[in-house]
Amino acid sequence: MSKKRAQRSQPPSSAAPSRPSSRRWIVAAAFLSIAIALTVHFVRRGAAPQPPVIATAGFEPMIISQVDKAVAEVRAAPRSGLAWGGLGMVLQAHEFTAEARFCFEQAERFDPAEARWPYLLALLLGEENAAGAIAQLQRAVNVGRDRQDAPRLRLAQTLFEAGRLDEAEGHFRTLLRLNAGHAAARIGLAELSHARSRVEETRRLLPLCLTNAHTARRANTLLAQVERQLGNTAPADAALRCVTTLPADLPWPDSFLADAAQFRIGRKAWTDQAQSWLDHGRHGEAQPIVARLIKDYPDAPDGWLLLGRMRLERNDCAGAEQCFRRVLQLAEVVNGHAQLGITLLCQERYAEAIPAFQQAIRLKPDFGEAHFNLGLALGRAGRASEAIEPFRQAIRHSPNFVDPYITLADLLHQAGERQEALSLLSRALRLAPSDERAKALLQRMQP
Amino acid sequence: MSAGATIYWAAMSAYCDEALAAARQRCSRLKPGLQTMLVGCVAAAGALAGCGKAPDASVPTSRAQISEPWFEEITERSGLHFIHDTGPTGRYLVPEQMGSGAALFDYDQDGRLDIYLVQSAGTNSRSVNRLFHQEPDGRFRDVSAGSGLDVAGPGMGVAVGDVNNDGRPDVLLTEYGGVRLFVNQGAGRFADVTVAAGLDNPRWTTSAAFFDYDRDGWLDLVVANYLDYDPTVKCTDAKGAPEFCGPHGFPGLVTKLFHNLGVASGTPPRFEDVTVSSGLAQAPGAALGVVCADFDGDHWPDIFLADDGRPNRLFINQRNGAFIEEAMVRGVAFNAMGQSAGNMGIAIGDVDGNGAFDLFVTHLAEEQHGLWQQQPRGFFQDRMGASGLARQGWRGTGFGAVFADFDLDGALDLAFVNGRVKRGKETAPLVHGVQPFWAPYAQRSQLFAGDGKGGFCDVALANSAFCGRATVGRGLACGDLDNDGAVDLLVTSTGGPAQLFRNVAPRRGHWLAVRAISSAWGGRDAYGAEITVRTGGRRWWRLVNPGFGYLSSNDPRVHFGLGSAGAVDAVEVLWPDGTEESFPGGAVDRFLILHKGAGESTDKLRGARQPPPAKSASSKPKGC
Repeated sequence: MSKKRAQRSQPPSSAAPSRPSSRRWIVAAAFLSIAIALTVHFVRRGAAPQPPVIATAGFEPMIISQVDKAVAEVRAAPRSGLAWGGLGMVLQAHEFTAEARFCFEQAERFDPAEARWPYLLALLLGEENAAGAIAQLQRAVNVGRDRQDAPRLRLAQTLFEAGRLDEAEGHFRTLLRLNAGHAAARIGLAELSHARSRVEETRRLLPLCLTNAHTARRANTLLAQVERQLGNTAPADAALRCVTTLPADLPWPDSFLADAAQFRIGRKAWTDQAQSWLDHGRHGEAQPIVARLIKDYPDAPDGWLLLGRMRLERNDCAGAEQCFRRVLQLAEVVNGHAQLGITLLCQERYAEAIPAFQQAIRLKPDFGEAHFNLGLALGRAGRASEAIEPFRQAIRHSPNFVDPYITLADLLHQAGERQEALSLLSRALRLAPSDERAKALLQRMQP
Repeated sequence: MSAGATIYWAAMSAYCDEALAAARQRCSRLKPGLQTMLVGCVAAAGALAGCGKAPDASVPTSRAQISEPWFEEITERSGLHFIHDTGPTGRYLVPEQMGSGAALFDYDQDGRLDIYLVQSAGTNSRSVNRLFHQEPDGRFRDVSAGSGLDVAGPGMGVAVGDVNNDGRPDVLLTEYGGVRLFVNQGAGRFADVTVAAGLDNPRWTTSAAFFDYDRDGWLDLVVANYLDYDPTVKCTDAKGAPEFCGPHGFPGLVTKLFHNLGVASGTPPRFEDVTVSSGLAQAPGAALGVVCADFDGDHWPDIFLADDGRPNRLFINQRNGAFIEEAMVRGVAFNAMGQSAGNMGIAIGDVDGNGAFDLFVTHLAEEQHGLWQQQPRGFFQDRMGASGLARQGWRGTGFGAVFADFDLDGALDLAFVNGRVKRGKETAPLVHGVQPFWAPYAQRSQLFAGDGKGGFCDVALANSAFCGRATVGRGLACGDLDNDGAVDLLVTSTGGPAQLFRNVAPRRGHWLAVRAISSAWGGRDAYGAEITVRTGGRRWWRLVNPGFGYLSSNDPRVHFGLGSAGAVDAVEVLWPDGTEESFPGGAVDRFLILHKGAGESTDKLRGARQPPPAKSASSKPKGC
């Protein structure tokens, strides 16, 4: 018995390895693989990227502070997409384009589920690398899953510009499937159809866009073209008349851009923003920005010019005068003198207005409106004969400005120069056929 | 790159993109470290398989045979020594950076093009405009002194035209603050007749063009005005450093039209300002470029203006002295996306061979340029995207532009010059002579080969002479300077040297250069004539008017590349007065002068036509 056990316990005489030995090899190989994989992983992962070095010398202190804060946030969390994206938006706001691009790349790397980063990166790439921009926009669309329409809309528009019409059409149609009333997608599709010479389809797509504040002007322009091509002059003219009366189309809402715009601070940014609001007649939005400009930059003429403009538009001529006098204490600018003169005219202080306009003309001799205002001031100050030459100069420098023709015609008529007065009125009516003042004067001049 | 290589790289690129995208998707639920590892392995595999940074396959090289350059620079050996002077730098006055232009014209009628170059250093400067005479050996000799054209001022551009029908081309100079008309008196002398001629335009003038809008045989003048600029407005860049202002802060101006009243022998030319009565005053803009051509097919010339940052304007001639602005309805006001752009220089030509001319307008670097193709007649669409021009190797802020068939293959090619309006970074080496202040504004020029069907491909990489170095490009004038049948180029730069480029493109076909003149108009060039050359089933269209581009005037002869056509069947001319004639064809590779009246009237060939509508009579003295 013991011999049999002994025989069984002994390994066979062949060369096969023992079980414990092969298991050790397998385990060792597994550990080695894992070790290699981990080494590769950490090598590839590498050290956390460093924020770019930003040359902020010469910038305003608040901008430097903003940049420093954003850089510190990245240093504190170098693998945070949000931190990198925040730095990117700050740098983009202050035109550090290459550095902003790097930051958005990192933001996307660490926060791949956020569509904002590839979207903003695409906007920076667009100038130099259209293909790269398209790829980034596609990524933004894929990641964003249409929670925001901006990436897909921008992608469609960029593909259209690049001549990739089929792809652009696909994206416009997707936007419309998601929201049948999407005016921006509709106008994009209309323009695409027009590019393909599909006139009827273009016309069919336009109606909803004609009254939308974001697309009305573009849509009416396109409608005018299409109707004219079809030989329909009356509808074309009607659409054109709409175009001339409509304000500029409002930008399509884009929350990514709106968020990024908040990082634009400082004197230049606020001046631009306030001017833009005032150009659109939005005093309410402009008011706090102008107030901040004056508070933070009391020795810069920009804020005072804007405040003066606002007061003048509200007919607060005395208040506006204070602003423009302050401007002229700070800088010798044409606009300061010209606007001061207008505030004085407004307060019927004609004699005081004369040197203001003369100074504006000295600085800018081709300033047609200043010549006209000088003529007005002279006329109302009882120096009518001296007003004739400024009115002539106003016409000479600004031949499309109707008022000097009419005013000079009136003066000349009173002085007995009927022929020249009639000639001026004729030109005024050529410029503005429905001008009632010109018609009334012409009526008075009839023998 | 060969087609096979292109396909290979495209395929591998597609593989890489797909593989990486798939890996990312599968990884999305894995932990980050493992995600990276898996995706990294796929990327590594792809790299081994041949992906990675592929050559830029998006830049088409469909004419991959274009590996030889088309131009060589001959500035130095031609004797053309001219550095543009903007006056003292550091003031950042916008007019300093916008000029200047040049003219290629044969002032002494010796058969060789001469050159006129404009300075903008101001009235009190010693830097005067320069006239260069081309000598028989092809070199240029400075003949400015005593010419009358050697004037100093804030010069912008130049237009050339024979305003008194004496057969000698006259010169109109545009400036910041006015225009000046110089009548060619022969023997290399010009006289300033601005005041006597009644040309008063005290605004910032940019481009100008001569054309006969009322078809009375006398060249009228359209003068593009730019901005109501306020020099006391100061602009800065993002960090508050001084920078040139953009156009948006200033109102636009009215473009002016002057009617040539005709001239009796021995008297100076006289013009009447018809800006208001013509209707042009009702639509101001910010014009940088101007082109006069028949846009609506009624054989009366119209006026197209490239307006910076605003919608372009197209004034359609109503045939009674009036014009109506119709850019919007005709599709040339805005780009394909319905937006205004920084419209600067204009090139005109039939790029798709449909017999109707098209327009290319240069824009800012952050915008696409505009290629408005005409289809149907009188209506235009921006097809920049489909043309291949959007797939360019680099983007710049474009100014002067020309269409010409540089390699004579029968298809129009495109050249334009670039130069920033705000400081930037350019990695290319600078053209020698660019002043240090202007270096941050320098950019490279660009060149595209056309396919005759409206498509283009970027050939800049093969053209280092023209495209390899950066300058602040502004004017680009084209003409056959050495009369060898190939179109050469003259480049002007802000604060830099004028450069001359001789066409050395390998000939891919034949050519014909045509001059159309009329003895009734003193033997001058028939501005506004449309010339069509027919060979077999093909035809080519050109317009006789040197006024296009940016601030510049070009060779008044029209040049045709004919490809493989070995003979011309016929040359048809639609004269500016609306009459049409056909001239017999003949050999290629020659210069042809067509005299009005010497051809066979196509009215007779086709039957009677409706005469143009009568306009109100006005008596004008006619010259001899």
